[in-house]
Amino acid sequence: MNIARRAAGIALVAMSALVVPVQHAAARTYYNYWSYWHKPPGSSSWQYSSVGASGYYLKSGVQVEGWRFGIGSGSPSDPQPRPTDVSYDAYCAGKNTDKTYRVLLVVDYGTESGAPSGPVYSCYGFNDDDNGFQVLTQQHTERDNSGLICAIDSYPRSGCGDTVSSPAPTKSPSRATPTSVAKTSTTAAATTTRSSPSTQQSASPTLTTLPRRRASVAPTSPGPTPTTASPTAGVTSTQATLHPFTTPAATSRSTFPTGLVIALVALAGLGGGAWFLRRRAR
Amino acid sequence: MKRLPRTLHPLAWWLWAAGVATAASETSQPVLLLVLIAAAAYVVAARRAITPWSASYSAFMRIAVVVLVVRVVLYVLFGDAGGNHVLIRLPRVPLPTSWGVRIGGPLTAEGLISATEDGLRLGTVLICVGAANAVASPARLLKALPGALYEVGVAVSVAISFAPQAVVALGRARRARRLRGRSERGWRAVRGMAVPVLEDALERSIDLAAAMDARGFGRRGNVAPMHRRAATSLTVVGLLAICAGTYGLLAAGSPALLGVPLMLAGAVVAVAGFAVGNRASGRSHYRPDAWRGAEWAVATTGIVVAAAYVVVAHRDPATLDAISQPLRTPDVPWQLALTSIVAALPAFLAPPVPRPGSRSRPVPVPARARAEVAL
Repeated sequence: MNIARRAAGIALVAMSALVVPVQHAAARTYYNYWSYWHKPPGSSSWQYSSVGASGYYLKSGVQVEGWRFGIGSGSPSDPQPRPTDVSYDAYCAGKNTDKTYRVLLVVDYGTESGAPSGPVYSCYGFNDDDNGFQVLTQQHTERDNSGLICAIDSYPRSGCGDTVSSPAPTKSPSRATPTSVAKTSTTAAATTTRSSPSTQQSASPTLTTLPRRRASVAPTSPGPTPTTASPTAGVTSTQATLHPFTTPAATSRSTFPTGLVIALVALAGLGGGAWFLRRRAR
Repeated sequence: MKRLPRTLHPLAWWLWAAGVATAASETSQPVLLLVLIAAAAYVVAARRAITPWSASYSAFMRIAVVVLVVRVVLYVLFGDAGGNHVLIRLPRVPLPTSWGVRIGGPLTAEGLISATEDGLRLGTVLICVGAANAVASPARLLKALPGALYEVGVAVSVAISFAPQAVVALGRARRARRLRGRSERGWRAVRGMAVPVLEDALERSIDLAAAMDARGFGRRGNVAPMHRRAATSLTVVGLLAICAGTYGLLAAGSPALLGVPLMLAGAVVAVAGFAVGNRASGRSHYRPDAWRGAEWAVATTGIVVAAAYVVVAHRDPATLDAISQPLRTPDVPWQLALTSIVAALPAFLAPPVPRPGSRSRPVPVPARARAEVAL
């Protein structure tokens, strides 16, 4: 009978261990994640996407797609991509006019320290109603985990929609001044750049716009400087300035692919060994 | 040093296989997955017991190929994995976009590659299960279960022995078909054999359970109900906590408290439950499998491989994802490539398998299985 009492004691301790995470979950959960937003044709405010990027199809006409990294609870009150009043015509006016589906893509890396300089924009035109994921991955790279976008352009480096204990909601400035668009030298060199983890989104990239086969990326040229500057510019210090998206500088991969070679040698050795042993056993 | 042939403790084999499967589930790097498959194949080739179910490995290999093909076909049908290297545009079934489903449409190289990687990962996990089935005897695994789990063990034995029994049954059905002069290949053969194989395998599993029941496996014995309840509840709570802890450990981005602490707490409770149950059940073991140095070594290799992958997955998940966007040759971390070779070490760490008859030429199939077909 002592055993039963001891068993009950152990079970009680174990149950208390189970309760601890539950108490945490009882409070409102905040995540550090990439939220997804739309401005369908004719809309001027961001709409929180209720579907995933692969499930959202472009509408015919001009529209804005937005991604924002920040702390939120997975609701429409989460921080929006800056500037919130961005419109298609401000950056992509007169581009891709021969295409049915025209998109301004805004990727906002958020305000945390260590974030790549942003937000950045790019203009695309499509003849097929492609989905939001395809729009995003035209030039940006992403890392996902079972359908959830974890990182864009290798930011953040690790984690995926991690829960945050203290929300500390940093209110994003509602108005931003898109001024001084960086001058880009549109060298349309067909370089297959890849975002190296170490040099991701360096602050001063050598600007190369990737030509795409299908999407006819309008060169983010030193176009007309947008004149949507608000009179209240400079009120907050965290004003966002949109930059044209440029793929990070191509780092020459001079490093020897040690891992790949080891893996291939192991593969050949083990596979050959297994084949040999099976032959001999027969 | 010449080691005496003996069979390794089945739990050691299962720990090894579970470790390799855990590692495989953490990565989508095709090269690493292939190394893990090759390592498992090498171990199976070196240490396969001469038993009817040792064909499980190739059977599971075929299942893995089917899984891979199904995954790619599903991608071709439902598409939409992004990417901009369009290979071909299939005709699209006009469905309202609000359904969120689309059949047909563009196929991209990126999508095909990521679908293949996904399928390969699932296939590798299946192959690990097949490897464990090929090298470890399910009946011996059941014998090694702690006393508290005897009641569950009968049910588990039916479940665990089903796959190897199905492999045996398939061989029997094929031989029977051949003897009747019918083809054993093609769709007609599959249709003709599917039901007999399933029936036969299930029947054999139930036979095994009945035999175990007759030998007192599911017996309660003269145990106070209080005792029994304590043992059962401790075991169930502990195993549930281990399940939740495993999820927390494997799912990247889950709260830290859900992982190791919960798993340890669950393990403590489960062990307590086993202890209570073992004291309650007055059974003796006939020639129990020994747990010696070789068992420790084999189990350790599995744990080492799994731990390496889990640690990397938590610290630096990007290196384990073979990002197909943009297309490029994968960056394989050399540490993991080396660690994956550890998975093949049981081929040397485990003692050689006892072989009936002469040392060089073992009898491939017991004569019994053939005699049954003739009946």
